[in-house]
Amino acid sequence: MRRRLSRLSVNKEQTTNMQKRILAIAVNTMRETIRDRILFVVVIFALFIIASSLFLGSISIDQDKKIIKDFGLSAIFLLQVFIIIFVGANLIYKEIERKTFFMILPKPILKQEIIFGKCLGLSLTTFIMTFLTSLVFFGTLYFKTRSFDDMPYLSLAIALGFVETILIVLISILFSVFTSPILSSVYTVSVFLIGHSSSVLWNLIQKEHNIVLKYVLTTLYYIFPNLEKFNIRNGVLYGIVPSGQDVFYTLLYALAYGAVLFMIAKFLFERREY
Amino acid sequence: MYAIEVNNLNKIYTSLSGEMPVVQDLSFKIDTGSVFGFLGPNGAGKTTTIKMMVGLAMPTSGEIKIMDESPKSINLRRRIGFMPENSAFYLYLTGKEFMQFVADIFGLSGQDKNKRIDALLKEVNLYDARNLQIRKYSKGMAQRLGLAQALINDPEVIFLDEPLDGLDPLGRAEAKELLLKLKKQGKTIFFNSHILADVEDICDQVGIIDKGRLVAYGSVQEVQGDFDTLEAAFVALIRKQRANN
Repeated sequence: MRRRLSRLSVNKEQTTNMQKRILAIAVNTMRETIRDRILFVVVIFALFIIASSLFLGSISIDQDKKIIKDFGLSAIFLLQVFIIIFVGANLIYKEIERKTFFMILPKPILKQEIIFGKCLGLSLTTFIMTFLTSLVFFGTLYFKTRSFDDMPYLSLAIALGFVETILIVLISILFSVFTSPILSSVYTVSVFLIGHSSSVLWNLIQKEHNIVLKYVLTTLYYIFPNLEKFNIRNGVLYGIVPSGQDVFYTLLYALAYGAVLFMIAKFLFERREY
Repeated sequence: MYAIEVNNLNKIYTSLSGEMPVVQDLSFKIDTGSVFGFLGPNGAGKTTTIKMMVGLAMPTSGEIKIMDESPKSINLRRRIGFMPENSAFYLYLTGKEFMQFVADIFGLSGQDKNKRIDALLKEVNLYDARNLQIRKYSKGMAQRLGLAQALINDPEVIFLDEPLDGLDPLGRAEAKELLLKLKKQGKTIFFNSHILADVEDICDQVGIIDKGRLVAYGSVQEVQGDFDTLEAAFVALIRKQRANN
């Protein structure tokens, strides 16, 4: 009994230490990305788009609220994706190239803790940016409509966009483990575009008669992420909101796909030499 | 027990153009509490050897034991310190933030952590620059921060890759004093260097490596032999080795 209790206490201590190490990597990643000036450019870009929506809304007839919502949601999503693609692609590779990893890897930290910490840190940065730009967006909308009626649905659209960006963070980290930042950005953008064209691929599969090609396309359909699952932005604009069950399955899909990406990134990172 | 044991170590890099042996049949033992200088010309295999010792690279064959443990062991990593050549940092962090980050990885916390960080920053003369972002540090300051982070966990064995490189004469003298202080505390120090005058002052043992092979190994006096300086012995040994090949 005493031995079991002592083993439990050791396990608890190990878990706490692991959490501390992951948090240290996450906070460090967040600090680095926030202090990197590229983010300020991205934020200014998002604010510019939101301000433009006000202008466009003011010159359109009876469509001003829709245009503000449309522009605002798109701007926030673009901001999230830009952060991931330009900062995320550098995340691991930069550390290997600049040799900052030489300082970290010989310390008592596991490679999966580094990947998890990096992903958490970049997700936190994206979360902060999303939160700040959302405040501006909702402020703009309130200024125009004097109501918060659509806020829950718009928030859900932003939140699902954020979940999608966590998957893109993992895709970006996976590529940056073994390629240069430029190639990593190209691959991530490609997966992002393919992920948002899943319905096109599905239609192709339905129309294809060649069994071999059909098999190849079906495999590709399941290998690439279906990122359209997270896109409810258009629906929300027209009052179409997914059910709770749909949202739950979408989150479950994100979790499963994210876990697979994490395992592959860990596998590749483990085998890398410096 | 030896602090470091290296047996028949080989490292071969394979590429499309073929195989390139970088370290060949390397064997040596280093006593606990001694200072070992690993010397060699550029490209001799010093950095690859140190990388294998701290787990950054995997040996193709052979064995490394640090305090009787494999370099892969997480438990061992709690007991060693490593300063890479031309230490690279997160440039947007301040010196103190970087030290806190490293301390967090080792699980240090509370008052002990802050006391240790402040003491180390004072030791390497960076206390006044602790709140400056690292991108504003000079090469010498970055080198000293690299040394400080390697000591955050009060390691038993310290690996230093060219620790005196980039330091001005005063900085070098201070770094040497710190290494001698660590030696007095009973730490085992393994360091790569090409500044032979410094090695003579600090080291108990030296090893000379050329083209991946150990050319000489022993106390400074043994390796120096009848030569006036260690540098003269170094040049003669390397030339002799190359003539034989």
